[in-house]
Amino acid sequence: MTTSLLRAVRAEWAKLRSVRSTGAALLATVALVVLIGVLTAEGGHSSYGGPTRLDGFTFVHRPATGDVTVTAEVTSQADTAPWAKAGLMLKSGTGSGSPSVSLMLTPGHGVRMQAARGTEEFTGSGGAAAPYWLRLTRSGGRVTGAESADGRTWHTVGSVPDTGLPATAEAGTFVASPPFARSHWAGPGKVVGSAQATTGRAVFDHLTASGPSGATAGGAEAGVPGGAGAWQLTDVEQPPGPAGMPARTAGPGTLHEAGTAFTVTGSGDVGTPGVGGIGQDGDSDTVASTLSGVQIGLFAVIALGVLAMTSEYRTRTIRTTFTVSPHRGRVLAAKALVVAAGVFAAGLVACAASFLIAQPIQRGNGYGPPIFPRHSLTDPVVLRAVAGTAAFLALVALLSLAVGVIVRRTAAAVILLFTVLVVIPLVAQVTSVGAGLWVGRATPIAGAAIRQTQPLFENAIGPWPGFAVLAAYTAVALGAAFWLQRRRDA
Amino acid sequence: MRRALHAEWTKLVTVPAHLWTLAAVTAVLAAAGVLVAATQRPPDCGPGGGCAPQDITALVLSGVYLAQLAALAVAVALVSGEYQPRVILLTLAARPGRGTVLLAKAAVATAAVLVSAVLGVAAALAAGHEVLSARGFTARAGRGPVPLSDPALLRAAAGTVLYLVLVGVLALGAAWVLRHQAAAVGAVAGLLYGPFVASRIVPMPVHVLHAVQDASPMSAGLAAQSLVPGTGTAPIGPWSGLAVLAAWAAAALSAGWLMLERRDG
Amino acid sequence: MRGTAAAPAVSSVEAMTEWTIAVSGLSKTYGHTVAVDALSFTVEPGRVTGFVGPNGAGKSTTLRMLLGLDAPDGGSALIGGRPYRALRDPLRVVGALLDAEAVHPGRRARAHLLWQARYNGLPAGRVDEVLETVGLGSAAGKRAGGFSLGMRQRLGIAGALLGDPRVLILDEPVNGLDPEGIRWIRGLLRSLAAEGRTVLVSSHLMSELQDTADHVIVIGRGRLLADTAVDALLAAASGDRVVLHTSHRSEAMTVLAAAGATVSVLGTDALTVAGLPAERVAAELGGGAVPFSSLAPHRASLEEAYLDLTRDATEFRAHAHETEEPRP
Repeated sequence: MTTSLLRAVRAEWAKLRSVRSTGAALLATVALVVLIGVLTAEGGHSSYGGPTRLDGFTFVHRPATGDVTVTAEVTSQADTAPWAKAGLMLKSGTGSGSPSVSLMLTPGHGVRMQAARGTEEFTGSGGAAAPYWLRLTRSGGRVTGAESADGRTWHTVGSVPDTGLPATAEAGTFVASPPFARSHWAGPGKVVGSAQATTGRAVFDHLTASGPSGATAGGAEAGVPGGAGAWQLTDVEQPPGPAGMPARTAGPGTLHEAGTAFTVTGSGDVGTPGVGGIGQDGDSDTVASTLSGVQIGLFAVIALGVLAMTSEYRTRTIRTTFTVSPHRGRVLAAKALVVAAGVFAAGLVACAASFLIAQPIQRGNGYGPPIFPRHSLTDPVVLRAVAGTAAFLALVALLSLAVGVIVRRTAAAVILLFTVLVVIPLVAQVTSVGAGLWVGRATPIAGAAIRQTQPLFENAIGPWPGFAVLAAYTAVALGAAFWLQRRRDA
Repeated sequence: MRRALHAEWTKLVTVPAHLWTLAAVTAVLAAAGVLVAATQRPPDCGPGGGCAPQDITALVLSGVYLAQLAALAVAVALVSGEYQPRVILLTLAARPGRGTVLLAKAAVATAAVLVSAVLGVAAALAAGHEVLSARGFTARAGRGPVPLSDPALLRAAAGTVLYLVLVGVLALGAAWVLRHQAAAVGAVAGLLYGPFVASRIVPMPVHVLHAVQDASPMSAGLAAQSLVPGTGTAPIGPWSGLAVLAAWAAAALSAGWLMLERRDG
Repeated sequence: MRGTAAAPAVSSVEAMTEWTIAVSGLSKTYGHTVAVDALSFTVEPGRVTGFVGPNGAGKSTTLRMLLGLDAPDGGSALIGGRPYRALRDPLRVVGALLDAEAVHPGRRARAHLLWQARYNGLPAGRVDEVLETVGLGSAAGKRAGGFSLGMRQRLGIAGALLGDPRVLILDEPVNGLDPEGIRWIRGLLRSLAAEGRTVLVSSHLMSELQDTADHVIVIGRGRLLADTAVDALLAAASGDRVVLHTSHRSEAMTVLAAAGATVSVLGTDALTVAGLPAERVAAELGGGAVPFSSLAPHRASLEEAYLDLTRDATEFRAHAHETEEPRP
């Protein structure tokens, strides 16, 4: 059995290799994947060109020496941007860029805690929304953040051992709201983004900053001088960015006190690229974008897979084939193995080359660390993307082969596959976001998700589930092809 | 010429696959119109907000992306049917004038695609109009479907029909050159969708993108569907866009004619 | 393109024209292969002319040039004094069968003929007539894809008869026909010729033409080998040969060869002897005491005549089965 299959494989390989269109299709696949990959890298420019540390916000604070616990309830927060921030902060002075620890609520990304000059980030409850309780506790060098929905049950968000804060730090609440990227239509198929400053607004209640030995609302305890009236407003100003950067702030912040409630407005942002949502707009999956050429390389793979089968029907070679090797399942298995292996090999060359050529170009266009980490071909995610994309092409070839067996006529099979893999995804994208997501999840093109290396919002489906969807379609089609071929007259 | 037309028409209607494919042009246009209309929601963004302007008419007519495959398939089949078994021997024996044969075939393909496209576009617009109204696209909200009598809408409808006809002629010319059905279908589909998909994947400066869109047969031709300035598939005007596609079609047909004249039957 | 008064005008022109096929100096080269090499012949009306040559001799290429499908590299091929491509409504003048496989498999037999009729303004009723003539009346509504080779052949012949043409050009019409079909087509060809039409029938087997053709044109390697009446060819080929039946074949061969005859083996106990009259043969055999059962003058078959003609081209015939006639 194995030797006869091996013989069938060798025979099919000889058959495939001897046809000129095979080489042409494989070459076209490699050329298209690399070409589109390089063009994509050439044309793409990083959307983030700002400073490496953002530290501009409205700070309502007072000095606190030694161990201290700051607590507040964020009773409301305006949804001015998904990454608008309102929360508590311990900071060394009020200068931009000085060490700080902050715990915040965001409209779009739940509770976050930042430390180590904004390069470290802890993630709290993702679904949290105002009203919500936050607490920062300093104990020696260590600062711990905690969150609570009701002010009684607390959960730790994160704990930082060495914060770089001096003995006397500024403690209080802050409000920031980053510029919001607005896209506008620059003509067909082209959306141009522009940043527009926003002003965030949040209402705090039950704001306390107290020493370790029993807290009282707004009270003066060990090392915490002053009462409620001593809260002070400072606009922490971001130093001007590089020329051409849009304005980051929308005017000075304000503070209104009504009883125990503080209403604070402010704009700006806190964090570093990659932390606090900074630089996370646009498509940042640089690895996937080097492999975007497979969407066009697909054309040639479909042709190859279909022709491997239908050319036999058209020229009636199939009769000779079945006479030479009457076991039809073996013939199809051998053909499938040969086609899949050939396309996988060509795909691997194409994807690896595209990645290796396109990545330096991307880096030259601003896609560099820290937002876009340097990837190596041997990184597990990159390996998955590159080898997986080659496997995606091999699966497409198998699907095409199976459809070729089922339909038997080249043009009909090509049109059918083209409709499913190219036109329907295209129409869905053009017509509505919902339809695009549905098509990306439930049709064979879901397999293209294997090239993703970043869990992005716009991804329809994860890499492996997407691949599994395509694999399932291919398995069903191949099964049907086996069944039909056994039953049908040649 | 009249006899050649009559004969080529007979060829078209006596193969059932041709008729089914033509019916598919109509059916796909109509079905896509209803389906797309049924999945639209009135846009929910503030005035001057971040969402792109919406062109409901073009959306309802987006079945053209799929229907053109059927149109090109029938045009290709008309020609490749002459070569799979060598029927061309009989055709040229019956009418040695190559130009007459080519023109008659082009005229018949044009008429056939025209009829099925007119029916499909009309059905898509009428049904889409109903569905959209039912889904809350009302004139009162300022986002209603364009009335069916609007001259701009008629232009978009006529543009879509012309687009499909020209795709048919383009495919016909390519098929005379390539002769093999699959090769011709693949080549024309690649020519239509390749630049279109590539221009959506590859980021490029606006002026380059717009130059590519204006020159590509599909992007330029489909610009005729656009009623809302700034949307559409290319910045080119509707009639100029169709002229670009017509130039592609004329080039393909001339190449086909040249091959037919010079090649031994 | 033609006015309504066209139909009667055609017949008057036709009546005046002498519908001969005239090929002169015709040449065609595909790449480095010379398919037809300065070929000249004429085909007269009123008789069946066979067009014979081994596979790859250039028969189909010549017919294709005659029908304006391929452009000659040199020379001319005229029908009634005009190139095919200059004919208006050619089916009314020339009926041709080139390739019986040239049928769209999805089209019904009737529709296949109908579009051809419409190209030349022939009435649809004519389609049913020719379908009856070739015996496909009952299969008129069936798709050609399901036809056997014999049925396709008949369909192709029906197409050739469609315009009631003065000239018929048939390429291997006997291919795939059953014995009854072969007899039918022989009768058809003879009756068409008897009506004064010009009939050119190609074949790679001379024997197929034995009872049909009045005249043969033999070509090999694209060149003319013979252009002669069948009777004359047979007479020439029969020559002064003698058929000898003997159980002592090798002794007979030795004796006769010594006497200067050319001897070839005809069967297990039969020899053909050339170069010696029958009396001399009998005398030599008697002298050598070789017993024989019969001795008779030879009556050549057309096939032998053909082999005689192409003997000089043995080198070519050795290649013939390997080199397919090129087809673009």
